[in-house]
Amino acid sequence: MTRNGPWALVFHGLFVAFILAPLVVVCLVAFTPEGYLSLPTRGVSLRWFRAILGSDFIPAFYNSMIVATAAASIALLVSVPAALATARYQFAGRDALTAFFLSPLMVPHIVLGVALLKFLSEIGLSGNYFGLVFAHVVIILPFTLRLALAALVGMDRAVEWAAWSLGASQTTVFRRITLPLIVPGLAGGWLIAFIQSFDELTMTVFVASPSTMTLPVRMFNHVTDNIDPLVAAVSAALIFLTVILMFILDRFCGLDRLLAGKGAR
Amino acid sequence: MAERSPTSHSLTPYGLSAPAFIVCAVFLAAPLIMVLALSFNTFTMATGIQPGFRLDNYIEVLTDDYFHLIFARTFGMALLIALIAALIGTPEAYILHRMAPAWRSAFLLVILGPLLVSVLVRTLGWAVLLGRNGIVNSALVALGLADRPVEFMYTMTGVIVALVHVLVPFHVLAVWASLRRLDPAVEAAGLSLGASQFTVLRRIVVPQIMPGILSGSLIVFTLAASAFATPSIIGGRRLKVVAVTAYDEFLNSQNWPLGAAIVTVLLVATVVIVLAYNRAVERRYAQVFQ
Amino acid sequence: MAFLELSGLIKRFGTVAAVDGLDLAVERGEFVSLLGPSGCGKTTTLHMIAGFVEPNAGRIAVDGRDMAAVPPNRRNIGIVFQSYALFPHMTVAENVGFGLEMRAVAEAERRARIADALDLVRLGELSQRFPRQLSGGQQQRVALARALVIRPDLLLLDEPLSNLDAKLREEMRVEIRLIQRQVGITTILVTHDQAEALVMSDRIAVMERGRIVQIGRPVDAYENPANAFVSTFLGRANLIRAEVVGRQGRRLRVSAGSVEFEAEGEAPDGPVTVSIRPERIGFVEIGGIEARVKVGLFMGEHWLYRLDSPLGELTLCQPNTGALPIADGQAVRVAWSADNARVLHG
Ligand SMILES: Nc1ncnc2c1ncn2[C@@H]1O[C@H](COP(=O)(O)OP(=O)(O)OP(=O)(O)O)[C@@H](O)[C@H]1O
Ligand SMILES: [Mg+2]
Repeated sequence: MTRNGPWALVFHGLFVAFILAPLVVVCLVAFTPEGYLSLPTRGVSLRWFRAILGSDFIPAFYNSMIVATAAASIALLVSVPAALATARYQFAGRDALTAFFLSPLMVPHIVLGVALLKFLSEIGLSGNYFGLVFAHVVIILPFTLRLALAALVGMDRAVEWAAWSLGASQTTVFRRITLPLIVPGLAGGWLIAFIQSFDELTMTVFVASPSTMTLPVRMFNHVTDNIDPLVAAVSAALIFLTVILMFILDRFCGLDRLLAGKGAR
Repeated sequence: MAERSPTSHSLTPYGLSAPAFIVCAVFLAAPLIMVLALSFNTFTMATGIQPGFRLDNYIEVLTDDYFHLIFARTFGMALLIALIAALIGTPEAYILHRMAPAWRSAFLLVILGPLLVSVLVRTLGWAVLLGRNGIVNSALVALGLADRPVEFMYTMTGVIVALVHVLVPFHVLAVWASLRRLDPAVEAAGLSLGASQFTVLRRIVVPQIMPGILSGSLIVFTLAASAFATPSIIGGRRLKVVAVTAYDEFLNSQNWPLGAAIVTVLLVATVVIVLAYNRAVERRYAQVFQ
Repeated sequence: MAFLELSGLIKRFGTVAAVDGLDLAVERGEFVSLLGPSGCGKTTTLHMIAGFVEPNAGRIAVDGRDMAAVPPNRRNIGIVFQSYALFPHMTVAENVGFGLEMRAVAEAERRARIADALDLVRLGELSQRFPRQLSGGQQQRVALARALVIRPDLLLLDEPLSNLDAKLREEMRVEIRLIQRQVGITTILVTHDQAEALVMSDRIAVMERGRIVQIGRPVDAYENPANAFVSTFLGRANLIRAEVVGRQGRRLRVSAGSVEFEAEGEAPDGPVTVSIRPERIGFVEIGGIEARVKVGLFMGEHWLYRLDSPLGELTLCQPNTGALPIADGQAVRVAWSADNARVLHG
């Protein structure tokens, strides 16, 4: 193994500092006892974390949980059969279908946002969870589909065949053999989809109504008025939750492979 | 599971794909078609949205200097961000590649992990850092590098710094993926044949990871060109980019047809750039991609 | 009518025919090996018999019944895959019991049959382990038990020994053969290892490019190879290009270079290929042909000599009797009996 030289390590240190700086700062600022943004130089206070509890960030957080849970689950439910079709069958239009399912990656979220705003108001679905959830399903579908595909393709086909020739019907093979073996991959896919949906702002800004407003949208609206320690405390809490999820994800399947789909064109 | 033959004519695969197809058709294709149709409508304050098929909005977007400025700013900014991300992300990926495995996985987590943190939170961090009384300014003044606080908020510099931060992990990821495919023995072979470390880097490593660098840059570029949260918080209304302009047309001016035309132009421009870039890259690097 | 009949089987992948007009008849209780080089279509043939792959043309019949419309789960065929394909999330006992469960065998009987099957492959005490906790040889025996426990009409083995080390492989050859005799089950073994095919089979079917080029008892296939491909694929052979110059029944007089000798077989006048097995050539004091030892290779139980001769390079095999080997470069005389020089078709 070749080692990095001292200059490389200096560069690396600066790079990591650059990556971590804003996150660390947000966390520090959240502990300020003052009423404005400052590093907590005069003592540490949980005042702003307590302030979250009574604020309207809480209902927004619940909205986000509902939307992300529903969207990730639905995305997984529709992508598993689609992945089965792609991985296990040859059929006319297979590649075109896969490209279609992955195409949400190609469309900027701002475009999706205005398109869905128009669409949902046109069909009378704006302002409720249904439209919002399916809007999210579309943007996270590529992630669940890719991970389901990777799990299926990574599996030895002969294992399914063995069960089949031992007398299991195709549905039994799926239930007893295929599904248990791809569950870890699917769990990783669900989690990454959940996070994607939970964090989504650009599209949701257009689609969410006051009653379904998600946490990022609530924060965005707050930040455009003023940036105060309250929103920093919310951010710090989010960072904390994300770090926990990140460790779970990394255990499941390795972060670099999971994220490989993100932003890929 | 398993079909009996790779050429079976059964309808099963279509049935299995149907739910995903319906979701994408209803919530992706239909809205995009609608927004396209919308962009040909007209709008006035007095009458609201008027149906019809007119090119007014496109003529406005494509001829008005105001929109020229916004599109030029957006794509220029995206280009710069992609360049900076490539310049710092590529060496970082290579440094990661050369680390001992334990360190490497720890730092991969540190560098890729922020991708899971909401863009909003990360932007907020920069707003705190770059504010008038922010830490960067305090440091600059304390170190004597500036005698007064420098204004970063609502400047191009601020937006670029924050967006590089938001997007550089994608570049690291892309280069890292191509480095992982690199056979370590090839580097060792180069060294054993008498090449210096630098020569190995230039002649052996860089050519092989070029596809990763190029695809990483493309990802960063397209995401930067359509970025919304960061430019809108750090850049504000004074430094509008395309996404923020579309947002204002839709949610503030209520001029949906114009907003629709703006995003359509953005989408088309992005797709054209992506396709042209891929084309050029594939032609140049056909051997490497095989 | 044979128990298993394959006739005119064809399977194409894209434009290449993986199996190209294959005919095979296997009797009940028989052990037949499909032997051939990599990519000749052995696995594809097996998968068509099991029903995973649908042939483009041809017929598969088991016990006189056409299998075309029968899905794999109704064929009652036991198969051991090259990769074993054990269910990684089930214990050994659950793996073996899966087929019985699918057949709705009652719990008590199921347990007894699992125990019997595991005893048969001598794995009784490992029944609660998971596949990843087993060695390659043990996994392979689980796969065998899983295939046998359902009492299949037909047992298909796809290179089941290829992942084992040499010693275990030799043991398992004998073991599988004994189990197969004991259970009396019709078996098809796919292999590209000629020794395996020779040891285990009642009959060997040698495949080349999607067809069977020769089928017969191991001894017959070895002694009377149908063509040059079979003669070099089953054992070693010296192949000599020669010209037929005279004949007396099946005894032909052929000439190669400056040498004329007698060979066995049928061929029209003109160029032929003569095959002589290395172990059928011997050193002689007088007569035979002159040659020179290029190199002698020690193989343990025998010596292998490479010779320069008027017929070109010859390989000669001598049992290792403990006597001193012949030195490199030495001039020798070698000879063989006319029965051991075979004129090949094609
Ligand atoms: N699913 C498939 N798609 C395309 N080609 C295939 C497929 N399966 C097999 N082939 C091709 O068919 C030919 C025969 O393959 P098969 O697996 O039957 O060979 P084999 O005799 O079992 O070889 P080996 O000894 O290497 O296992 C090969 O050329 C292979 O490349
Ligand atoms: Mg094979």
